[in-house]
Amino acid sequence: MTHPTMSLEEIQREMASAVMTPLTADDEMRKESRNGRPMDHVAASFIAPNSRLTSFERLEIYNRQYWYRVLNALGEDFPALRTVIGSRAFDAMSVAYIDAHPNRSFTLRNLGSRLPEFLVANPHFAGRRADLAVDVARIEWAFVEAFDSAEREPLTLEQIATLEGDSHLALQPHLQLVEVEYPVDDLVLKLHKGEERQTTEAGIKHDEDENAPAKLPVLRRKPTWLAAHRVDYSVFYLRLKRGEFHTLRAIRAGQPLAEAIEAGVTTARVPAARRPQLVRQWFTTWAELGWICAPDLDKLVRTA
Amino acid sequence: MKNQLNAMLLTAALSGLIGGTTVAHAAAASSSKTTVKAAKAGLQYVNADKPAKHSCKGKNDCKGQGGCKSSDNGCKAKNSCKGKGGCATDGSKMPKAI
Repeated sequence: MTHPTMSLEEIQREMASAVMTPLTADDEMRKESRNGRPMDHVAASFIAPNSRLTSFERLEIYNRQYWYRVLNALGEDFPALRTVIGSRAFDAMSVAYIDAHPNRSFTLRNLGSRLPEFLVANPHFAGRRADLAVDVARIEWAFVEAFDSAEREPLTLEQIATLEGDSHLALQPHLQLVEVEYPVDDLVLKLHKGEERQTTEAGIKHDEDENAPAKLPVLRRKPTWLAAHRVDYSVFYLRLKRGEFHTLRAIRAGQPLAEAIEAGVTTARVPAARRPQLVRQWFTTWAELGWICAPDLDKLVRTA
Repeated sequence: MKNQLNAMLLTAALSGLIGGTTVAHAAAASSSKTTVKAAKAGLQYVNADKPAKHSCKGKNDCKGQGGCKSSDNGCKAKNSCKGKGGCATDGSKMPKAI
């Protein structure tokens, strides 16, 4: 029976809370709500039964569909992570993650945006591969961002002619800079490409138990710097040198051009005499790829 | 000395920007645009011929085509409400509020 004093907003909140409550291990709706109320009472407070289904059963349909959809959406964006930690752990992690960070966006595209940081805070989901899993999640999320983030007009020759050491620049929004502890970029690519062929071809073997983590090639810890970006509607990634990564990151952080260059070259571990040549190479490549833009004036105005 | 080095680095950066931008413009004007850029772009992850499934995330133009999350197979064979009147997808009218 509908509660006589519930407003529309209260009904919406009650339903959202019920629908977003994780399912049981048997994919059924829980018998109790988060605040301990019997779920059949919750359901009956805003859903009438019909001739075939009780209020509980009708609400359960929405509860199930919500979870099937969001879990499927998350899994679609992190296939390599699933392989690395195993389906069983991935499913448990997904439920915990979505429960902690339900989608607040109009699009499921943003659902996984906080997964890397969630894994850092909850390493037990990945067991002994916790650090590796965080790296894989970071790269997979970078691919999502690179795929459909905005593209702006690169710097023009006229704009370059006005630049000085204290000028501020910006990077293409779709350019994603990723720093990882393991060189997992090739592994992630192999796992993604391997979706269409036997994974053993990619050097990755699954245990007999498909839910278990896959057997992976031995990876030694080695700091790795990556850029994921888009060219003509295709996503690419390439490894960066430490110095160019830090220069690009400083540009993105809003440091003036001269300071950004210094932030990078001081970490580049090359003799001072070679630095100008190195910097020239970096900026040539970045300009060819269209990575460098004028500052986002709208953003400056908004944050002022 | 440090100022001199910094000036050299800045000059190097600006000449790199000019050189790279000139190359990009020249490539854009020719038919080799994609080839030139892609050669430096690194390894390809998703190409335009095979868009990622989430290319239609948040859009409704793929509805019913099975290509995105708002209509994909996440609920395949699990749609327990089908034909039972439990949800609005079967065309049934909403029950009257009591």
